[in-house]
Amino acid sequence: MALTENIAAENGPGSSGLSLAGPRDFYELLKPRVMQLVVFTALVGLVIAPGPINPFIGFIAVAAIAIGGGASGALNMWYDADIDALMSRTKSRPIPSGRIDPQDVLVFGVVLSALSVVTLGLATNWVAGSWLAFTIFFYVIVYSAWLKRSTPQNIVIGGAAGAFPPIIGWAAVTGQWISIESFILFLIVFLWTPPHFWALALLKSEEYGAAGVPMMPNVAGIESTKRQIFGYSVLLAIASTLPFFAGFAGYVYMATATVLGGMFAFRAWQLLRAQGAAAGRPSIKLFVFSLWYLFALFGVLLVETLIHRVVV
Amino acid sequence: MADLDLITPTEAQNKARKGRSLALGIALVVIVLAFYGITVFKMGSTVLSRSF
Repeated sequence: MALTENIAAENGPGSSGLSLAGPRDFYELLKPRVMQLVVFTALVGLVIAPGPINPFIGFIAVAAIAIGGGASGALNMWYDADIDALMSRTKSRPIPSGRIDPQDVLVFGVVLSALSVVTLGLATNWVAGSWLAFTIFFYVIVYSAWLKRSTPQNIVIGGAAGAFPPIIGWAAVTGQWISIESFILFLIVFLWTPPHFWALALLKSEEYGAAGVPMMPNVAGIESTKRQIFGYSVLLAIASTLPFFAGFAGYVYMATATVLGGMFAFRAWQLLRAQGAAAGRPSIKLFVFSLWYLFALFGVLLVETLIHRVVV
Repeated sequence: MADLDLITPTEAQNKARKGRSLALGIALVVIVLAFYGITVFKMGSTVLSRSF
């Protein structure tokens, strides 16, 4: 049998087995939207940390954290390709849409993971490098491979992976495993994750159920999820004021955190009060607001810290 | 090996391969420059005053 016929037999008629994947497809594997959050929170952790860091080394550190986050996103897509194919939100991703071979994604994710960890370790210190390696492990193994398909608490516990970047940024400057300040930043992102994802899950609960993913709305029910969203939103509003009381944020941050936290809790309250199909709009509003909320909160903390350093 | 039928990539496959090659080349150059910069900035001024 000719070589092309062999390949066609394996990959389908008319196929030569050569990839049609372009750079854009590989970029999509890095989950660029999620990466924005990773980059920004890591940057804030790095900037507010006490001690000097060379701007170039700081840039490399943030880039390495971003690439590590992207690599874990690629490995998540490799592992979840089967359920991604079943949901409208994810079925156009590179693997389920057939644009990239899963094996290529696995290699891509592993190589980028190793590269990002080594780069961060060499550029800053191995505490930060170890944190990044643990974050990738936590997201891929603990969240994707274990929790996601086994418990409705998946994004509560797994959300820790998305909350580690400010700790990594802090560690890159200080070499500390953890501090009060970096833990508070972690806590804010950690408490933000459930209301953020469950607001989306409320809209897509049937799809998650059909794919066999035990998200909170299709396990505990819509009403229970809305109550939990409200509970986490109140905790988040309280936790967001901790940087002020811990002494690493000023009055502008405190005012912003109070107002935005109140708005967050109010939107969660609106969702809690909405019944049946009417809950769709408050869910979307809360989801969109939650994205802006975190960027605004961390943005104010960043700007306030920079102004404080220039003035004092 | 009379029936060895070599693969002739389609135009789309060739375009995708060139895109991947270009992106990989750029990534390698960026990595080299990044590690060059890391080396210089980590060593600081001592890079010029070390003994041979």
